[in-house]
Amino acid sequence: MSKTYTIPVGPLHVALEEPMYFQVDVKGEVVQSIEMFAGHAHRGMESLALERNFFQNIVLTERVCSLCSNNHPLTYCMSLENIAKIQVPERGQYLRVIADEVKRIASHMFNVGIGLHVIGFNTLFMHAMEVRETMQDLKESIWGNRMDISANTIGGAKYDLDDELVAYLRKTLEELKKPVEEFRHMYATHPQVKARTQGVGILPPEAAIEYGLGGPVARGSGIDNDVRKETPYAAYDMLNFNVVLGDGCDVRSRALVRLGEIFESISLIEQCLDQMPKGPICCDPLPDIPAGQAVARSEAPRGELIYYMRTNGTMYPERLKWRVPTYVNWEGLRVMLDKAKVADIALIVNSIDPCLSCTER
Amino acid sequence: MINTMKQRVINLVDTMPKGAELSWTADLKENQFAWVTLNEVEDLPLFAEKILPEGRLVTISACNAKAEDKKAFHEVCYHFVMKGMSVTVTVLPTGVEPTVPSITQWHKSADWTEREMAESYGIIVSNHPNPRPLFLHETVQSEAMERLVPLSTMTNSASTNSLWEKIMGEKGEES
Repeated sequence: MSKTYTIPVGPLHVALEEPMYFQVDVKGEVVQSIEMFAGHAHRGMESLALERNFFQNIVLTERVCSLCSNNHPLTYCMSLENIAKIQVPERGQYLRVIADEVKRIASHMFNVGIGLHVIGFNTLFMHAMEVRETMQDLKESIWGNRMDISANTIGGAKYDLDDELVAYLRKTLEELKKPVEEFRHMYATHPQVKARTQGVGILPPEAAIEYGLGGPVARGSGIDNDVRKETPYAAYDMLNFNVVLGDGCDVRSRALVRLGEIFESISLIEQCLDQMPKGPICCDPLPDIPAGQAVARSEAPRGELIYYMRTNGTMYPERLKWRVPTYVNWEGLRVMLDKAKVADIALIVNSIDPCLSCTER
Repeated sequence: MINTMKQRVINLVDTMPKGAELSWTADLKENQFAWVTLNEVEDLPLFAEKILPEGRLVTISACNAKAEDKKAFHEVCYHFVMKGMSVTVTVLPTGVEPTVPSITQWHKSADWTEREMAESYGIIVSNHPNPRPLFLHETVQSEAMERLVPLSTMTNSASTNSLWEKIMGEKGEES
């Protein structure tokens, strides 16, 4: 059993959401090392962005990724607002948070659900998808779409909530609390889930820092790195919420952080509905965008998202670069997969909530 | 905390052997952004090392150099974050073969983004521990972001039939 074998995982694999090729060296059932080969979903979007004007790029950036789709145009718009010193009206800032947190709930439920599917617990997977469906219906009712909701524009929000929609939103969130709590209890206590996720895919906090990892992946190892607290944007500085941390450093800890964040998201949306003032939703008219450069960061469901924008006084960006949360989290898999069992590879990969569409753009 | 970080950046800039320029901006939420321009690219590893442990590399952006910069074709912007404060460090890779030193040994998050910059812009990253292309296959011509690909070339072989004929032609077989 001293010989090492190399096995391929991916790029098209039944348990991987998106195409990534892992070349895995194993000794028996135990992973010795991995090498990753990306590029299967590369679309050249940074180059496309230079061919589109500032408004067209709102549409383009929303299509980088479907699960984080709201954070891309939001952060893109924030970068332009930083350059032109555009003040987003207060109502617009609250509306941005509501859209963001609704997307976060749906994204987290999806990831935790897929993790259960990977370990073969399809009943609970279906339960997760059923709970998530509540948010999908909500998105369709408010924004008219289930994934790309077009909630943001330069200078504010592109949608508004009337009394009827506010009541509908409140009712849906109230109805969501019990099923999510039941789901979290089941996830935290079920012996089969525990057996497959506890102590699997260990990421020590030192490694999370060394690799510069972000989002719930790092927070599952106790790293307090939430951009919403660290660098407030939209209305987050006017709202109360806790950064959910875990100390298990494993697949289970990362999932429980995501489930905990759902309750914070529900609370954030309720606070927005309570505090949101009446008034304009968007800065109008917009000033010209001068030549300049800016960095904007936000906390997408998967972690820190950063946009770097450089303008030259025209209506087109001179350079637009973005880095998505998954981009840095891939390398963390070298630590998480070290000495893991072959059967856990897909589960551990899923625990970073991987997104190739984001990573490769 | 932010004032401590600001002082750290000021001290760091002062210790650069070849000198550096520093400016500050803030957004409307009072978040601080530091903009550092290193006079010489050779100071980059020192900066990358000294910004630890609070600073972490978030990403790297290669850009066309500004019109007033006649020394190089590209600028490379290194985006760090120090406890929520953004620090962007700009260098100009000069010379016949524009080169920047790798900072992956201090910031593991630089690994992929340095490789992506190399394959997209043709900027050489010296001393990279794993210098193979990131997204583009080795058969793809390098410097993808630097080349003008005419639409007629891009759409050539776009239809199934001509693609088939091209593949069979390359294999020397009749389709």
